[in-house]
Amino acid sequence: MSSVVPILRGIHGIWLREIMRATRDKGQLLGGVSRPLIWLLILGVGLNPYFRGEVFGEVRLVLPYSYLQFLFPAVIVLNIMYTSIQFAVSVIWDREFGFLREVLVAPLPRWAALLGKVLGGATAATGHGILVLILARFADVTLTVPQVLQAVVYMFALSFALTCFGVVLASKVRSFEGFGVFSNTVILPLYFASSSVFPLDPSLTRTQLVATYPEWLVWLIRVNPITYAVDALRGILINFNQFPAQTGFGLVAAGCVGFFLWALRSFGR
Amino acid sequence: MTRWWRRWRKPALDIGLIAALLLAVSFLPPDTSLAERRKQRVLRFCVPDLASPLVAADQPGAPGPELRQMQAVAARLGLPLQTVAIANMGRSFNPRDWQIGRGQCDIIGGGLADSSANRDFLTLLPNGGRIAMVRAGPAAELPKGAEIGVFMGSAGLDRLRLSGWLRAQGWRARPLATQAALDAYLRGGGTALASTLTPLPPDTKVADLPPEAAESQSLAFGLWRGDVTLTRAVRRALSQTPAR
Repeated sequence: MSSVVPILRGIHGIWLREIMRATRDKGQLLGGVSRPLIWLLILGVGLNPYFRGEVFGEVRLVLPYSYLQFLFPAVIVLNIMYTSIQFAVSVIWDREFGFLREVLVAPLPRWAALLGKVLGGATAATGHGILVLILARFADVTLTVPQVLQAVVYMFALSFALTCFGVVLASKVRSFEGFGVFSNTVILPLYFASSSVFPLDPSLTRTQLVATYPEWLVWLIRVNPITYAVDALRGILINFNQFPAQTGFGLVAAGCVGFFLWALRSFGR
Repeated sequence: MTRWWRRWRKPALDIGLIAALLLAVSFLPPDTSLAERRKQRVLRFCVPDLASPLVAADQPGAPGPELRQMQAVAARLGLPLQTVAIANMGRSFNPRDWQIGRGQCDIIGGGLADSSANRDFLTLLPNGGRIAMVRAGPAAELPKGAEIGVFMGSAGLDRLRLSGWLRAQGWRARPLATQAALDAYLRGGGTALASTLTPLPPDTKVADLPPEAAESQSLAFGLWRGDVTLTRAVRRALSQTPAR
């Protein structure tokens, strides 16, 4: 018991440091607010008329949702992805300025130091996801308290897994500039190939699906884990799933454990 | 002022400012559907047939329950209501054949079932009404092998379930294609199945069917999906309108 308390204090200290850094970083805060504004306000409103019902039976989005409602959970995931993966810049920063060395020589297990950092990043990313929830009224998404609580827990788990993934990326890249380019080449393809901005119509058969979209795109969407992460959040927020909801929850849970272990292996090398 | 507050005041203010900005943005209108109605000064309500019991009551000129509700909604929105009768709507079971467009209707009613097929195309606002199949005609039990008339009209109810139940009763179903055929069949002393929306000859005895025979569905008003501001306004007005 006496050895647990210092570890918890250490985790808390590192978590608090990350939170303080995240809340004082104006650039990150602005990014967290500008992304949902651009995506929902401009892209969502701009494309909404093209997906709305014009003539009974001739609509382009054959789902019981408007395009804004469909896009809303995906924008939350985008905000979480950016904040989580960009958080790994702090690992490069810490390594560059010697803070990481200080942490690693402190009498704190390496896993605890990593856990504190990842929890800090995941908390900040969840906060950025919660900011988007404020726009639910705009997107005409009606939320209940249990839905919000479920969404926040899920968003935290997703943030945790993605922050660990960011730490893994940061361990492979040595410079800030390199990480910026690298993270964009990871985030944007993952996001766009996740059925986030267009649906794979669940009423279509496999044959109809590959007649609508090129087979390589259908394959890419189906093997992309972010597809299932977005889909599970859609299930929570707008009650719509294109895939079994358990797949998304299972992948996020596996991601939390798997990426943490991978990040632990890479951390402080 | 405590040390804790001094440390967190600035970030708390920044986050509060961002939250306030997002909250303010959430009140922006996401489309022009309501503004367009206000500009054109008309709310068009499409129904299958002006004689439908949901649109016209028994007394001449009196509105049926759905029309009354929609008149109240239009009054709350401050818009004149225009009722548009769409001939195709009552004639076909498949909504695709109704050929209704945004140019004709803002709101669709007059017996629209709250079904997943309709939800795929429209935003549905339940209006408290229901549609089901009923038995019309003499109250006496029909023996096995007896004939029973069936008039489905355009009701989007489960026909397979009904035919399975009829077979289980050992009755011979006689399809009645038109409203006139139904009236003649009932006047001739026959027993028939019809939907609750079908006008029946005066003094016809009506009885509910058991749940295993036919489903019962909620009725709804349909708005074009994506018309967010109009849908919000109609939903709000409906919630302020007494249930029928």
